[in-house]
Amino acid sequence: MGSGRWSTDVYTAAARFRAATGASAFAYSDGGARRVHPALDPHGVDIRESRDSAEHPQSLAIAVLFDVTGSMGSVPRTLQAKLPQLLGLLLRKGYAKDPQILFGGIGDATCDRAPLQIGQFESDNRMDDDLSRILLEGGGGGQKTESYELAMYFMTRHTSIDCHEKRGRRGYLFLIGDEMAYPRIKRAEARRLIGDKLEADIRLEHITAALKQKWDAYYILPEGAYYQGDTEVLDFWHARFGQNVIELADLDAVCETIALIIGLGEDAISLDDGLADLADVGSVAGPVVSKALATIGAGRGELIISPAPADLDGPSGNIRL
Amino acid sequence: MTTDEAIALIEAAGDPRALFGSDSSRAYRRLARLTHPDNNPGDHRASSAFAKLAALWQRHTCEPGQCAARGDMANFYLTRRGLRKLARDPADNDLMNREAEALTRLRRGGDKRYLAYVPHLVETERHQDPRSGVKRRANVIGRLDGFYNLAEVHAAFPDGVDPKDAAWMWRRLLVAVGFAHRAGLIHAAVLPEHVMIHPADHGLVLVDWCYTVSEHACPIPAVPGRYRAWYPPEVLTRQVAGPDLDIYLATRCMTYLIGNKTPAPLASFAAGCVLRNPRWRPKDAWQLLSELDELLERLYGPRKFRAFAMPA
Repeated sequence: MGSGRWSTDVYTAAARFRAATGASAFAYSDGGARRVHPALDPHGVDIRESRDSAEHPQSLAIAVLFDVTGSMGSVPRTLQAKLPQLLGLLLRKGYAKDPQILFGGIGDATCDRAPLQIGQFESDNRMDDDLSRILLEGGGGGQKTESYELAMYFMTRHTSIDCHEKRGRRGYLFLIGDEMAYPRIKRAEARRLIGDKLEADIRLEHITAALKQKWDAYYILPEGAYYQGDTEVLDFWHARFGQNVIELADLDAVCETIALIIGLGEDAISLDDGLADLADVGSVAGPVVSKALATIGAGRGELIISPAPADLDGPSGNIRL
Repeated sequence: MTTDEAIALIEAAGDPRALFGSDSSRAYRRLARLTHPDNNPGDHRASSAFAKLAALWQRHTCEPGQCAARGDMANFYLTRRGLRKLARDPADNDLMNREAEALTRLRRGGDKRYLAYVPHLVETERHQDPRSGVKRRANVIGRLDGFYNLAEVHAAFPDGVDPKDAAWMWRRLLVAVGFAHRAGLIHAAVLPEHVMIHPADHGLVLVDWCYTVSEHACPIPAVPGRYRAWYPPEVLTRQVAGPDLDIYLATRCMTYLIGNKTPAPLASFAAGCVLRNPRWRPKDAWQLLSELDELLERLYGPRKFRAFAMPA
C-alpha cells in the first residue's frame, strides 16, 4: 500500500464523476450501509504499513482518525468533505515530500456498529476512497467517552511505518473528536473488533506512552462539537497529550491546521512563516490556525543540519520495556 | 524577499553571523526555502547558493565537539556551552525529550533550594544528518567539572568506601531523589553512572533524566540493559515505577559503594529499603533521610565534615 502519487486533478475528476453519477462524497453512509466497509475493518488486520518506495523514498506516515458518532453533529461530514484537501496542501506547501495518509473513524465499542474503522496509508486518491467509505454513526453514548483507546491501541500495535523504523522520525497522528477515551483497552473488545488475544486489559496510560514512541500524537477538539469548551474533556487530553491538544474554532481550517503542524514538525516552516503563507494565499484560516497552534511552536529547540558525528554509532544500551 | 535577492545575499556573504543575524534559525529557514532546488528546478545559481547556505549554516551552528564519553544510550560531546548529549539510536529520541521535559519541570516547579542536585539544561537542539535524513534530539547539559560518578568512585575504592565518607553521599542522594518526588517525578534510573559527586565540596548531582516518569501513572519506558538485574522484578514485568523504585536503586548504589565495609546496622537499614514487596518499601525519601540521620548519629556521633578525596 501507499504507492502512487497524488494528483489533485484525479480528485477533481473523481468528484466530477460523482457529481455526474449523483453519488455524494459520503456514498457509503448515504447508501444505507450499516456495517463497517470491509476495506476499513480492523478485524484480523496484522499491520497497516507505510513504506518507502522508489517513488516515495522519504515516506512520512500521517494518520487522521475522527469521531464519527452523533455527539459530533455535522463535524464528521464536514471532515469527510474537507480532508481530501490535506495531501494536496502538504505537497503544494512543501511541508512534506512523500506523505502517506491514513484515514479512519472512531465510534463507541460499547454500543456502536462501527467502533473502529481504519483505512490504509495511501499517497494517491485511494485515500479518498477510504474517506468516502467511512460509516458515519450518528450513535454514540452520552457518557462523554468513545473508544479512542482502541484506535490508539491499533495505531500502536498494528502499524509499521518506515519513517520511524528507518529514520527515527515519528509519524503524525491526529485524533479529532470531542470526548474522552475509556480508561482501559478491554480484552473482549480487542478480540471482537481487532481479533487480538490479550492476556488482560491494558491500561490507557500504557498505550498512550507506547503510542508516543511511534507517533507524534495530537488531539483536535473542533468547535461546534457537542462538548466543545467542556474542560473535563480538554483536561483529560491535556493530561495525556500535553500541549498537543488543539481547540479548533473553525472546522474549515482543519486541513490548514494539520498541514501546518506537520510543516512545523518537519521544519519546513516556522509558525510565523506558515501564518504568513496562509495570508499570502488569501486564506481566512490564519487567525484560527494561529490561535489553535499558539503553544505548538514554542520550545521546540533549533534544528541543526549537520552530519552526525562519525563515532555516533553502535546500538542503544537500553532495554525497552 | 525574492529568490533573486536571497541568492544575491548568500553569494555576497562571508561571515555566517552577518548573514543569519540574531534570529538565525528563522533567517536560515527563509533563505533555504527561497533557494531550495525543489522550488527552483534547473536553476544552477539557486542550487549553488543553496549549497553555500548549507555550508554557512553548518559553520554557524555546528561545533561537532570532541566525544567526551559514551553512555548507555548516548554519546557526550564537549562544546563551549556544555556537554551535548546525542542518542546513538534515533529511536531513543523520545528519551531525550523526557529528559528535557523533566529538567525543565524541575527548574520551573521544583524547590529552588535543591536545584544544585540536578544538572542544568543549557539548551535542547534537534540535529538532522543531511545524508540519511536521520533526526536526533540533543540536550546540552551544563558541564560538571571536578565530579566523579559512583562507578568511578567504586573503581577507586574496590574494597569499599568508608561508610563515614559514604554517609554524606547517601544523605545527599536521598535529597536529590526527594526533590524529584516533590516535583512529581520519578527518576527511575538511580544507578552508579548517574550519580555524580564532587569529592572536595561534598556535592552530588543526579544526572540522566531520560528514564523519568511522572509520579501518577505511566510505565517506565526502558532500563539500561547493563543494569537490568539491579531493578526490582515488578518494574520489569509490570513496568510500574513509584517513589520506592528511586529509593530502592539509591540504596543499591550505596551498598555497592560501601561493599563489605557496611556495618550491620547500616546493612539492615539498607535491607529495609529493598524489600521484595514494593508495598513494604519506604516511599518518602525525606522521612527516610531523617531515619538515616538518626542511625548515623547513633553509629558515629554528631555530624561533622570529613574531607574526602579520590586517590591520585
